[in-house]
Amino acid sequence: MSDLDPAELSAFLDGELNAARAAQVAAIIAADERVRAEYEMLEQADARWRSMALSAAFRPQVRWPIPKEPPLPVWAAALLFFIPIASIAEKIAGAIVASFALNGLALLALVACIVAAASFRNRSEKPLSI
Amino acid sequence: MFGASEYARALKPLLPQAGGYARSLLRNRHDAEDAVQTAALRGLERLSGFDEARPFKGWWFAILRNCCADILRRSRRVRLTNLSSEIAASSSEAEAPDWDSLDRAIEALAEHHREIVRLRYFAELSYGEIAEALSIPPGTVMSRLHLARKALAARFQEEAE
Repeated sequence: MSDLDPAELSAFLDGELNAARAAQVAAIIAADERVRAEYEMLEQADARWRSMALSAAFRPQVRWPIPKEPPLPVWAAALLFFIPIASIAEKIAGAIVASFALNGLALLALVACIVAAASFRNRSEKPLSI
Repeated sequence: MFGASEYARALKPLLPQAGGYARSLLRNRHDAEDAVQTAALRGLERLSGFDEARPFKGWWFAILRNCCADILRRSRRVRLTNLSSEIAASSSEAEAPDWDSLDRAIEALAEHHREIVRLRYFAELSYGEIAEALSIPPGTVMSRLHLARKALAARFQEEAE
């Protein structure tokens, strides 16, 4: 046991030695009956503690703070406001060109709102979901 | 930079050991849950001070250890005025481990060995992580854990005879 620090038996048991030293310690355990007896005693204590720790383990729930929702961008709010205005204006103007132009703008506004809503949803779902 | 989402993800696999470790110190599941919750939020607050070169697990369990110590201090004050209700609450816990056996085994150890044993078995920390949590060199962890194991083994042998 002269070239073995007794604490290395524990480190070997815990897999804390590097591969080369672990191989040397394994050889000493195999060759020396006294070392083997001490190692087996450590193994038994280890197994008993592991089973005790296993009986105490449980998975607690962690409640994370709810992140603050970012405000709706101003431009998205303006577009949302533009849709009913465009619809009313189309009825008032009556002209075909104006109707196409206004409907086109309303459609663009709708698409922009959908994109804005989707990006807003992605941002609010990201933080701290584990 | 270690962000809040990365922190939450890194913490997730540690929760069962965190629960067991806190329970081994506080002896009831409810207090253990409180300690883990507080430690999770405290760690989030201190995230900017975390050095990524150091082991995350050891850093976070040091926070949990302090949270458990806070709860123990509070419960000792409460115990002076409300001992009977506390005993009733802890004894009614379902599937409680054999704390008497744990106490007997722990009593066999020197004070500075007890925490190493808890961190090794209940928190499942490596030597480097224990060293980080207790601010001691890894070599000291190795020698103390070995002495603690020898003392425990001797205790178990005495019980068997």
